[in-house]
Amino acid sequence: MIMKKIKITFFALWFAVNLSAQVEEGPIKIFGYFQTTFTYLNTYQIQTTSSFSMQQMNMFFQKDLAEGWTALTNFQFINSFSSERFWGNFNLEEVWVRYRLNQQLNIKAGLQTPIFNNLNEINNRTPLLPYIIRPLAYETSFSEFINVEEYVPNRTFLQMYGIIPAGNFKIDYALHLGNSPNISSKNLFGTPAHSNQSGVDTTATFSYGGRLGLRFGDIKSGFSFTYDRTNLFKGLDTAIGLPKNTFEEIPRLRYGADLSFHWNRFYFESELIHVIYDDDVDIFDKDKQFYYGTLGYNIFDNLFIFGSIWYIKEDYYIKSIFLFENDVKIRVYNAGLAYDFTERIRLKLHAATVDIDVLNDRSQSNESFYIATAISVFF
Amino acid sequence: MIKKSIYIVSLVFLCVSIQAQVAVIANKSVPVNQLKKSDLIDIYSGEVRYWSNGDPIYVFDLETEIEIRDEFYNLIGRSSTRMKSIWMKKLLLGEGDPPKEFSSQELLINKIASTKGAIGFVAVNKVTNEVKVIKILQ
Repeated sequence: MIMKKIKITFFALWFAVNLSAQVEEGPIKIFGYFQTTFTYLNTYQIQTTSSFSMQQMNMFFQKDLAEGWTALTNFQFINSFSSERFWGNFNLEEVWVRYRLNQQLNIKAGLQTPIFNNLNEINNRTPLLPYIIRPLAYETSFSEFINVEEYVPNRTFLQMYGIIPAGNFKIDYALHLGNSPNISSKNLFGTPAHSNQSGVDTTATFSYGGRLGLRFGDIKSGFSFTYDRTNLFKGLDTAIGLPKNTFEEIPRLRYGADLSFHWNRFYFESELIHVIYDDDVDIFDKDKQFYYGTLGYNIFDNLFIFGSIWYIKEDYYIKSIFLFENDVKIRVYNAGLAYDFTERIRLKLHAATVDIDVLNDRSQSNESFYIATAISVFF
Repeated sequence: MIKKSIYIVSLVFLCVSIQAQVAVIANKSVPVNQLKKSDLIDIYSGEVRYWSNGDPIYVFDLETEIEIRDEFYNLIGRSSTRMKSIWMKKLLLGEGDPPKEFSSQELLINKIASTKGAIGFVAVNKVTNEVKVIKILQ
């Protein structure tokens, strides 16, 4: 009996020692970046504002847990965040663990940004971008007045991705699975708007998506999609004379395509995103489109100039009634430069004209002008 | 006299040519004897992380001030500025750390000689027999 106990104890000790010996933990890495801006905005030649802002700050904690295993957390603060003054937002942007088997197969579990087109994965990494304001569908600091989450998937929970060599080409792929957009939120009084716990999916549906891309040298292109079911327009059905629940869990398909390349000192990137709601309701067209294209040139190794065009079209349009006869088109023409003082400190200048056309029973066109300068620091 | 001049010019030309040559070197355990430029791009941009026998690749680099560094990246077809932006992207996405940098070619050779699976580059005239040469870039 005693021998048996000793054997079990010895085995348990041996197992514990071997288990800890197999785990090669690396040190925890702490890094981050911030972008502080000065913005001058002339809106419709009526209102002029100029403002400093801490546009965004992200803090990362990363640790290699064992051979192939890495965990990362990413905290994001935007628009001079202050909970005391009700400014901006604080988000738990990413918290994931990844297992890398090899170049062809990586699996990530936890809260993460899905791979979708070219820009989605890096859209909030300001030191990597020449822009101060990102192409509209990606600009999180606009989320207070543009529903950016309708265009691009911001969150997923399980993702598999990799790069497969194929002769001179490389095929990149990603598949992801996450919640539907119907997440329970707290209302003004602090209790969830639904009966569910806040932050969880209120339906039994999921969001599925993926990307299939092809790379050849410095040329990269791909096709991305997501499919989910949304309650975004729930309640609006009865308001426009449709039967109740017509807009419950409407199937939504978002697809995108991207092309980018480096050629000598030139850089080009472009994307399109289409959002299609499949609800067989002809009188209320909710579809959306977004395009952007950027051409840049490195004058010196540390000086990059660019011109960029962005276009959004939203069809909030009811054909037989007057209620929501909106057909919104936004065109933004941009020019800017990015100058690297060092590898980690980048000065940016960005000017844009924003042209908003709203088609009601009479057409309106509004133009605004925007100029900004920013310092983006990676620390 | 003319013969002497031709000899001196040839010697200068040879020195210039040698300066422009970069040797890609590896630890003697590395299971390859030759690599293509595209393989070097994949290794130095972190796309390929393991040798064919499954051993991890340890990628070593030189500090930015050392001239041969720019020469190496230009010869494989990616400027060092472009490589930096590739690594900054990987770093910020949690996809990997940039190659470890050394302050001299001698230190780099010593580290490669003592690290299983290591790869790096130095000027051709710096190569010693502690490491194996897997490509000459010119």
